[in-house]
Amino acid sequence: MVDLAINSFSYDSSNSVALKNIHTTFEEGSCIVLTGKSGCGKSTLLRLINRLIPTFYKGALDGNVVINNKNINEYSNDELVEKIGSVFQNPSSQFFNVDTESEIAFGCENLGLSRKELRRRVHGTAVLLGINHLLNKSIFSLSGGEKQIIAIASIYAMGVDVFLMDEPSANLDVEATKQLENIIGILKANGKTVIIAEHRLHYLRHLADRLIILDKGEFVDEIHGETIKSISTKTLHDKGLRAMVLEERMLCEATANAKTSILVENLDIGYKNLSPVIEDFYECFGSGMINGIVGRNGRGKTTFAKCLCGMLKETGGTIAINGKPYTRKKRLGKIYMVLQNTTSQLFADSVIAELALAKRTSKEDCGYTDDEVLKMLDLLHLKIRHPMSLSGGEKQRLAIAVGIVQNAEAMVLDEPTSGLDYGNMLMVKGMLKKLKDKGKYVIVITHDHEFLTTVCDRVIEL
Amino acid sequence: MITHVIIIIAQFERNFNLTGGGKMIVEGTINAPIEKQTIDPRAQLIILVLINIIGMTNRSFKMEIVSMIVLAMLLIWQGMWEKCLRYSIAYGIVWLMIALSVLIPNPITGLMAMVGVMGRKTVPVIMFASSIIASTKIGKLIAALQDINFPRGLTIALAVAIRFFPTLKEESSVVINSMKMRGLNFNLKSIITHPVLVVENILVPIMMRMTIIADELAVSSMTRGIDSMKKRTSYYENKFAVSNGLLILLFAAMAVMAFMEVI
Repeated sequence: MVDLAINSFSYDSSNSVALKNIHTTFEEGSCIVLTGKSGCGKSTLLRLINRLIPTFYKGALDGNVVINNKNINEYSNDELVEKIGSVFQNPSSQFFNVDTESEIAFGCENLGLSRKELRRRVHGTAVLLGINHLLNKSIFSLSGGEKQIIAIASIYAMGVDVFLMDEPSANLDVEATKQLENIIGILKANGKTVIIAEHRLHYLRHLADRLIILDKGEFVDEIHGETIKSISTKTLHDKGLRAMVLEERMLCEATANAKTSILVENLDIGYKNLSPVIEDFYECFGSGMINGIVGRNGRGKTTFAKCLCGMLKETGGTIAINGKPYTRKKRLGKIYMVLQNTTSQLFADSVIAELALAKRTSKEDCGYTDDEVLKMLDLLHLKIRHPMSLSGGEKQRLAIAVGIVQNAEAMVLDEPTSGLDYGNMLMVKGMLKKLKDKGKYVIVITHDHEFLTTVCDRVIEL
Repeated sequence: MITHVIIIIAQFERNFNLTGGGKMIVEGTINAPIEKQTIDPRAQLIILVLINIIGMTNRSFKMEIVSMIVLAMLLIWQGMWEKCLRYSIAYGIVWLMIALSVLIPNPITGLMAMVGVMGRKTVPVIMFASSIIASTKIGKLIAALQDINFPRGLTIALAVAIRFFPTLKEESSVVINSMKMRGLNFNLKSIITHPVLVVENILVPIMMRMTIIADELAVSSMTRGIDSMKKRTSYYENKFAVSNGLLILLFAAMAVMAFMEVI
């Protein structure tokens, strides 16, 4: 049981109030979903419950957090980590070990349990969560969903009562999200309290007991039990939230003209000594439409995208743009990729210098002035800022701007909406529409089903 | 001769299943695979120190070749064929550079000789260090260091550093690839002509990514009690096998011989 009596909280690094007037009790064995626009304070609330505020993030709190009738400050570190467990957004950066069993045992090892008890806990957890097949594997061989489940298993093994999850589905595909849903169901059935901060709501439809909507640090609305299942998509969208029910839309199979298309024929991609990742692949990406690529993790979406952009050499087949075949080297920069972590693709020391750098390296003129491009992507007011000081969305737009200035024919976007709320998702949608209207080829790799159905003209399954 | 001893020990242990140094102790699971031979993390660290001593003190060519062969055999014993081959080739290239400077003495080959001499000393060390990173389960390393009462803070720092190598490799390849996509070259020519620019281009994004990942990792391990005051236990059992002791003795003997200039 978690009792919250928060009058106000603000981070030391910011002047604005992050949370205010939150007085509620999270009952044992219930599933509580916190949602709201980016920056609404839902992650902050979780950090107060696992005491990362104030141990890791500093701020001033007026109020109390009480766990099982005892003030959180009276718990020792060891007591607290046995009560409260946390799962985070990025599955790959929350692992300490490289094999699954060590990872599940990690928390218990820290608590100094005997080896016999460790083994009992690890195998007990694996049986309960139905993940025996994941034991004794390398972390690097797991899919995103499996990694998330191992993260949950690791804190389950510690015997925690309360599970805090901060956007656990942000990097998961449809299938993996289903696995996550299943696991949360098991936790609930075992009397655990689950508190989830999320943008994507659809997978929590049958699990959530309370859906709490936050805005600017306050609880503005709360929906209970059965009402959650019947809430309409429009009501949610009006509040700036993602849909609860996924639309099953048939996507039109638009046919493309080979003269204005990216034509991929008989493509083979493989790494040496291994069986090919992609074999004899044929696809035609037309201009003037947004092409979505879906497929489970590990099916070669990223490999295909890398090859398309010229980062990886194909082992066979051809890729032609507008009827002309392009070799790997020629594709570099012609087909431009916007990465999921755009931090890795920005190199200059200001927004404007970033565009100048792009101009210097490309041989062709894109036909727009810098200001036009910046205006198109709503970056004009950030001209002299350092790229690394921008927000995730701004970095993403800058990366796209670079692609335009470089006069890339095609833009491949890798998971452009992971972790975005409804409003920001719409912004990305608007941006892609603009690119499409400018005659660029747009290819989106995504497992965000909601985004896919609202944006893409065509879906290709790998 | 020495390598024969190691192989015989290995065979012996495999046949009679005496190895404690690395077998997983898992009761009641069917899917426990046969693990490759591994060396106890403590033994690995001691050997690493000894290899450094050999490298620094040794002046004999014979000794250098012997220690390189022993290392190569050690890697093969642990099933790291490819790594062994790669470093052996690197070592060969180092010697080629030195040989070239003797055959054709001029400023350029002179520079190469300098790099070569440095390589002679460092290749064996890097070779063994990379085999440690590839073979050690982090949980085991922590447990092993704790058994010898190594300070907890240092243990965790070391474990995190080793945990970061694969991440660093992954992140750098992403950055280098996106440099190529932006028409920024990353090759020998660009490194020689614009070294500062290249380093800046690569380092800034990588450092940014690393800080983010480090924070996420720190937060995740803190919520799982990494800073607990209790003595940490280990899921895996570390047994200091006979072969580990013999290996240390072997390298210690080589270090002494190098120091005393016996060979």
